Amino acid sequence: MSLEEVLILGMPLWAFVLIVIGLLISIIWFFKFKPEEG
Amino acid sequence: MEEKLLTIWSIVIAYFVITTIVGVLTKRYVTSLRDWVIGALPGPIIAAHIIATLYSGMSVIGASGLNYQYGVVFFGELWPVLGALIVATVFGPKLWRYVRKHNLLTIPDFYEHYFGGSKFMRVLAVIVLFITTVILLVAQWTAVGIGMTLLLGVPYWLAVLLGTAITVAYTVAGGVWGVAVTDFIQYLVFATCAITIFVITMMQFGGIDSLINQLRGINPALVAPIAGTPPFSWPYILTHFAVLLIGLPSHPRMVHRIYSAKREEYFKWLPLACIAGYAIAFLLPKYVALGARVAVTQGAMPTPPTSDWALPYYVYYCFHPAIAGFFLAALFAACMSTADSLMVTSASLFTRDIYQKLINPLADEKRLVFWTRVAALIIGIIALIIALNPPAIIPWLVWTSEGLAGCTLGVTLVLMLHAPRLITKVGAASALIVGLVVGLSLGYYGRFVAPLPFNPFLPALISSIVVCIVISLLTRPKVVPRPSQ
Repeated sequence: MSLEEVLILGMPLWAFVLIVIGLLISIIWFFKFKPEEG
Repeated sequence: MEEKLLTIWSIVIAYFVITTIVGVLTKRYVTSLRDWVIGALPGPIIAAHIIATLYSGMSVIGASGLNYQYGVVFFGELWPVLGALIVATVFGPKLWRYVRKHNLLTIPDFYEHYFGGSKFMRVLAVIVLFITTVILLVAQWTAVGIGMTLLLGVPYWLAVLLGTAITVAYTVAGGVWGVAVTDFIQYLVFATCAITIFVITMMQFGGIDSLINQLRGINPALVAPIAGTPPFSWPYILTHFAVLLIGLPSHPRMVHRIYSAKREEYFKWLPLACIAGYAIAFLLPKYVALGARVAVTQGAMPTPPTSDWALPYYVYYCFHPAIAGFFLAALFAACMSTADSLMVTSASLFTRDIYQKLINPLADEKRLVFWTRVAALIIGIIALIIALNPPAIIPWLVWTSEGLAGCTLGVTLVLMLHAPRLITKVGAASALIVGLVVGLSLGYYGRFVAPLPFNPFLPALISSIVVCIVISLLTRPKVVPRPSQ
């Protein structure tokens, strides 16, 4: 399979890859975030 | 045909009635200007409110229409999903703490207070906010008009009028409470609809791989990951991504939502909820639009007149009438949930930022709420009049609004919250003016004179950043050295 074919098939999927990255950042944020209010 | 229309009308009317009643019932929560403009919303409501505000008519028919027209290349269009993350992390907690500490209600409040009570900054922010919100409001009414005209055969003017009347009714009555509670219902409607039409489309075409293969058979360019020709060449896509990644989360309709969170601890899980909730509703219709392209080739539906009409056409001609009715309700939900937040934000500009702060500082709460409701009504009517003769397709309106927001509010808000040493009042004012003037000029040129090979708002964004930082460094107050003993 050529690089172009991989890209073509992967294009609709890389949207999900980026969303997974976003979800990972959100999960890290969830554990790191400390509210300042009492 | 009559039975089909009857089914669709029944579902749409049921949606309108439920939304209006629920929205108007929230009126009892409003006793002051603060209640109307920002309220104090509980966690699940603020999450749905942020997602629904982000999810506009553009997200349903504009974005999926681009997939219909250009194919898979527009799966790269992911700034709205990441935009949800940026709103809740980069702007969220810091802005929330500031506005709660200083009892602020609007974005111009923030600009005035941050720069030491500058009325000039307030007025400048009001101008930027008014332009960006009204352009986007026009896009939402246009989308409502297209949906109703196409699927229900209602005259365009009547469709726009009906959508405006319902949204104005519950927004005027309940303010942010009416908007947020209806947004919660609206999110449930369009997320369920997105999942339903995606599943049916995949069943029809035998899965994603099969759909991609059928698209390749129609035109190999539809599955090309990199489009070769303007206006959507690869440099354009990349610069577009950069501009809207900052433009979308810094749009006033998004930034103002942060003010409404009841507690700071919500920002702990809001990014996760927003990104997951938005991804479902945003990505799935894009696959459905690819199915629409194949359906046209197979003769299962007529060719839509513009890309904006692709998804409504597909659902109307190829799905059960109940699904078509549900889709139309979801389309209205997406448009109305964005339009109502825009109305809250822009109405507060007149009452809080102009009437209370500049004309009648002694006005009581009852009078303020009354005038805010009047302002919401007037803004709805202004956008309605413009939408009756929409100047261009929906994506262009939305990108202009969000591109302008990025090169004005985006630049200044990021520096104000995260690099206060790099921004002064003169620098911020210069950035707002330069961003607005360069953005409007190039946006007009790119659309009406000659298409540019890159997003027209990129030069405005860069010049706004440079102008802001350089002028701020030049005008930063000098530290007076203490005299030696």
